[in-house]
Amino acid sequence: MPGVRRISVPGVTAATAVLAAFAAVLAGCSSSHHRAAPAPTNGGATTINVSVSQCGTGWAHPTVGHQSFRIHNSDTRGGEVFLVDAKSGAVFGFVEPLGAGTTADLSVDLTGGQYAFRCVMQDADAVTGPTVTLTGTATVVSPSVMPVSQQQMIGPTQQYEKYVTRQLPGLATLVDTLRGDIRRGDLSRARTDWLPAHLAYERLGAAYGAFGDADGDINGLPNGLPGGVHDRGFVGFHRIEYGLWHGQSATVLRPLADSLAEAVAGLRKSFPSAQIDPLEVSIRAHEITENALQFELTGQTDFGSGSGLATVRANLDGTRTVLGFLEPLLKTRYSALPQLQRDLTLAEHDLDPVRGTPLARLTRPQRERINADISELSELLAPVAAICEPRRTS
Amino acid sequence: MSDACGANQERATQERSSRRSARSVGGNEVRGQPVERRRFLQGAAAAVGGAAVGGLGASAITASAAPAAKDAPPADRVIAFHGPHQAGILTAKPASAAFVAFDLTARNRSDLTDLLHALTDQARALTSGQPPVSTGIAAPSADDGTLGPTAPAGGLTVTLSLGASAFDGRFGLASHKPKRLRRMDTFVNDNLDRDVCDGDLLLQVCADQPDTVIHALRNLTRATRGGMQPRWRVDGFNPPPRPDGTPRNLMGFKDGTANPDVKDAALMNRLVWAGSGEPGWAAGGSYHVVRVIRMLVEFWDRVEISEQERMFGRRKDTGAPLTGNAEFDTPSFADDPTGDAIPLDSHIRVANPRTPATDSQRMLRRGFSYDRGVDSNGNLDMGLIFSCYQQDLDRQFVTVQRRLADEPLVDYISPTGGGYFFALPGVRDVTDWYGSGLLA
Repeated sequence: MPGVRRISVPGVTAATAVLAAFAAVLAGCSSSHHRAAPAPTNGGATTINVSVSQCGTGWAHPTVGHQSFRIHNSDTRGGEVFLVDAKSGAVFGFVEPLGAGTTADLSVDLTGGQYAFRCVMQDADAVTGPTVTLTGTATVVSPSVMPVSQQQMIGPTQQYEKYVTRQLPGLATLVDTLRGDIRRGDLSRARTDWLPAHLAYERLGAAYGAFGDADGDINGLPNGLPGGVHDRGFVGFHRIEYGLWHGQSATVLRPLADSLAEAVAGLRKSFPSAQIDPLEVSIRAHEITENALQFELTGQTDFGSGSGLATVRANLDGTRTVLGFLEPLLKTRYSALPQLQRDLTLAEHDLDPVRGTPLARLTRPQRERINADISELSELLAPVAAICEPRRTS
Repeated sequence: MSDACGANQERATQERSSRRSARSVGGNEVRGQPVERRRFLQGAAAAVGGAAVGGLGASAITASAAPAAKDAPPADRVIAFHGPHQAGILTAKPASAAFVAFDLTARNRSDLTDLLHALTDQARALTSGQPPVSTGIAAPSADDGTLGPTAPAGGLTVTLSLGASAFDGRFGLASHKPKRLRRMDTFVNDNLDRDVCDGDLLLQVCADQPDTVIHALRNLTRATRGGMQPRWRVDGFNPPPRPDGTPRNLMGFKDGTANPDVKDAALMNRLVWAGSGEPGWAAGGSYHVVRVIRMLVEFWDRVEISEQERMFGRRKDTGAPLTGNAEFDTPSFADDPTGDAIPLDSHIRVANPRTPATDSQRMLRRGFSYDRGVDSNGNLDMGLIFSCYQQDLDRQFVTVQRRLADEPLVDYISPTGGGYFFALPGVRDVTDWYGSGLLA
């Protein structure tokens, strides 16, 4: 897959870099959205001090309703700041990252209760500041969620690793069958056997280059290659698809089938010893459908087989699987989870009757239905990535 | 469902989630995650809303003084969302617009009700400039941030209309269809691509700046992906007066000079708002016709101005009728019975003969220019988003359009898309929602 949107490499946990990159995205959103005061200087804001020794001081006149803070990191270290429910630890707002000596805005809407700032500075234990009590009731309240720790994501991550590991032998067998067809010169049979092999890969949920270089070798697109579909760098399932459905000979396809089989064998060998970043599992749950929307539902990844909708259906299997691993964490954190699960089932039912139909042959209402399903699912899956992003809580 | 939504003002305004799917079923359950879309400012926005309800449907407008600094943002203004009629009909045209038609993917009547609630909540919040509520770690930000942290209203209006196809069997609305509403007719000079015509639901989104329009469109579609999908879209702009009077279309002529006076409430009742023959729920609504009319500007520019002026019946520079001297002079058709000054087949003479018999055929035009790239022959693809509101589709738009068949101007224009729609009655207050009368 092209365009690795969020860095993700199996075998490297790279937690800091990945976390920082993703956090920057979220922090960018929040700091530009949470302020409500029209004054560009944020003149009405309360300045909160952040450091290991002085975490969360300065909340002088707490009132319910809209709160506009200027969070100032007076420490020599960078870190993250969370505004939490003092009793439960549920997070109402956060600034992440907050560099040493910098100041960032944080706005939240709070009702009566007890709150505290939690400062998680680099190379230091988390510090929770003084508890501040708000009395009264506000009708508009920012949502709060119990943060998910790295520790809590280990279980789902291992389940996902096991799932992929279990699937890989089947994938390898199907690819070997395809390779055998091509080696024998039976391209008619190869056209039949290409799809189950490809779907087995798509079912893994390998969205946006999730398997790193292996993904490019197995399922790459000609995007970014000067020669396009004729470029020697275009290899893998889609390259073979292009050849099988564009009258290319077995001689041309044989080395491509060999290298695909090698790439799958390589993934099968390396994957069990690789360690997936827990962050990646939460992102994956969301991005499988984003990937389907961007590539399959635009027809970009159809190189002749007309199997884009079958791919989307396989992607939903992947989504369901990953979501299943995260369900224990989401149950108490994501109130739209039942709706998400209902919508996932509806999307599966909508896709089942058309999964064998080329995208271009759908009627307009059929296509709009699938677009609605997958784009709605993407909206509902996006919070899953936000909620399950592993965060430091101690 | 409607009872639950109407009974609790706070719930209606504040508890609806931006992520609530248009697909969720059942009235009282928690819809979606508890992420409130926007904080409701009890101050300015509410006061403006109240002013509009007290008015005659004309939208109350507040404008704050423009900041003096050179790099300061444009002056903000809030156009009241609530009222007996939707804003964006009598409202003076701002600079930017998008017309986006959708097909409903809502699965049933309950879904459609949810969809209209979601659209109401978004439109209400966006048009009043309510700042988005922070989502913390519960979800990605509820706002795209393209208008900055405070997301000002920016003169935004969102006007929602339904097409005839929304009244088919899917939602049990067949017996409630406005009497004249149907698939858009094909007129003799049309060159329609039916893929970019009609649609179940039309959003007309207008604002002072294009980024405000886009911001609204992104939020509106984000909240409604499961319930409707875009069918066609055309973006428009309304240029400033050059040098004065009514803005010009891309043929260089002032367009809209003879529009009926929107401040004349009695006139609006006769020409714009749905009449007595319509279903009860439609009171306060209006037939909305949109026609995407390509202008063959290269060809047009190769035509002498005097010939252009005879086709329109007006001077190109001043906009004056060819029987007069200034833009707002009344054309003297009676004194020019043989069309020596204003040809008998000129656009303004055929469109509006200004006789007692044709007086009730006038419509409220609210068009925008569009400009969208190039054609395969290298010509520029631009023209007019003809948009008009009227009481009776047939008595007004269709009658005039038929009369205009084969007018000289047709060689230089080519209608390619659009549709017939019915603009819903206004959302009366914070407890009301689009289509409440239709679906209740």
